[in-house]
Amino acid sequence: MKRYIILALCLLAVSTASAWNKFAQECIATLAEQNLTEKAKSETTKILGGDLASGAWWLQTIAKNEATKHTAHWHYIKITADLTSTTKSNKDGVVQIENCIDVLTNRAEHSDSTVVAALKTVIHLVADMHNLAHVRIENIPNSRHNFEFQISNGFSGKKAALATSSWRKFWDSNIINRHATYSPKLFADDLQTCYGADKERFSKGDVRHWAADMARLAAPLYKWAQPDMIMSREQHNRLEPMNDKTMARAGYRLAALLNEIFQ
Amino acid sequence: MKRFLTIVSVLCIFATTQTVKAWNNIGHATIAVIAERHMTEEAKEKCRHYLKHNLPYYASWMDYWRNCPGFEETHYWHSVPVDEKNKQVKGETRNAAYQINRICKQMRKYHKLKDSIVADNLKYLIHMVGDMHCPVHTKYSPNEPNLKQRSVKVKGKKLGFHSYWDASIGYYNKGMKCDQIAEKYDTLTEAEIAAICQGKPNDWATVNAIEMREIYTLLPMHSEVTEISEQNHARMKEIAMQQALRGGYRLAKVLNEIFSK
Repeated sequence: MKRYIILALCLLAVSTASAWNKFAQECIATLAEQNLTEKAKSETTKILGGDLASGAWWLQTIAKNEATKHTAHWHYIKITADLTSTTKSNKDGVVQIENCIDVLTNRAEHSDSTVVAALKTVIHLVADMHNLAHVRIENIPNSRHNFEFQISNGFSGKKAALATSSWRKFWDSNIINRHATYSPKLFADDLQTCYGADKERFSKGDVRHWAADMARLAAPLYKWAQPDMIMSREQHNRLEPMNDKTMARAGYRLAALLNEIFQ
Repeated sequence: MKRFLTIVSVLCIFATTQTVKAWNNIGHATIAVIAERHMTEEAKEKCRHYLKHNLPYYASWMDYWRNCPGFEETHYWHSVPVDEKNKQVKGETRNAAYQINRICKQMRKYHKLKDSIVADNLKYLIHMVGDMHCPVHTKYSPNEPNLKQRSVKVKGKKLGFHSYWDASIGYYNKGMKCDQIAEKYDTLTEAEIAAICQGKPNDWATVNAIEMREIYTLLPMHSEVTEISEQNHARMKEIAMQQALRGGYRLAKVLNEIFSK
């Protein structure tokens, strides 16, 4: 009996884990898959033995292992005060994506397992670098530390209530969980409907440009977002399209990157 | 063991259920997916033009905005109040069927409305056509105290009767996503769908009012959910899915009619 209660609590806890959650990762990977060239699709399927979504969560699963816990740093990107990405540190998502691009481009020189790991890492990190809570900007302390704030349920009078959330948890799972009853394909189809016309514009540039683009989106957000703030239901609702748009950027950019590597 | 797993599943579902009084997310999204499967290409294209999204995206929109400034009145547009003769309460505009009729009338000349008004009207319709089919969204007269929604119990713990039914589509289709549920149940023939779509929102509300009285006998107030017979649970599942299909097919009909003009 006790065992099942613990299991049930664990299942609830998993859905609020502190990373862009599995559903969001799979949606982004599915959107990317829908935009791969035939050649890229065939190559990635051969490497992974499945679709991109099948490899999307792997990097998260190894972050807690003793031997691979250093990868926990890779889920964030470092941005300088002038909103550019110039870091060479290995503790950075952009640098790790560049390392993986190198492995995948020269895949004949690497073992199969290294190539598989590189592809799974790229899928996950291109998604994560587009999570607004994963952009760490040099002169904005709130972007570099997780903080707690309160979310209003929108009610007034006796039913008014505030729920405490962390900033990271909000962007990692809270917003996207409004659509967690969809299959990843259904949500990816919606992103395609909504942002298909922006695909070319979003895909331009390289990983460093994309990081700078995310910094430009995130910086103004931190002028507003402060520890202990109260987020109204209306503000909560208005942030949702911002999250969708960053997911669309991630999906299209991941596709563009893989199409270029496997052209 | 089986009973215990059922209890755990019920607790898990209700632990993640919001306090909103409507079909919950999976119910509304399922209805929207079913509707999209039966919309004409023209209606789908027009909806995407105005909404910039697919239908399921806005399935729960009214629930997210109902407590925001400017949306206070919409709080009362999720259910249908009826009298002892199963007729809608006269003159009551806080009524989903009334609001659906009002919006459909306005949408007859949708091309003359601002795009933002058309988009908002669509968001209301997507939600309200679904919600009026939720088994607990027929609000019976206070003169019928046996149809007052109180609470039931899940392993001794109180749970709103209303909340139980709001979550029923998810509860009876554990582990499934809304599009998988739609795929599984949307198997009726064209003739059966046409029969369901006959009539207007007022007729649908009357049928709901007559038929949904049954749920109060299947799951009596203050009863223990885990002790309800398998036969009753099977019937409750049948009702939940029947209402979801009705909501989906009828939503498609409403939208197809608007955009066929």
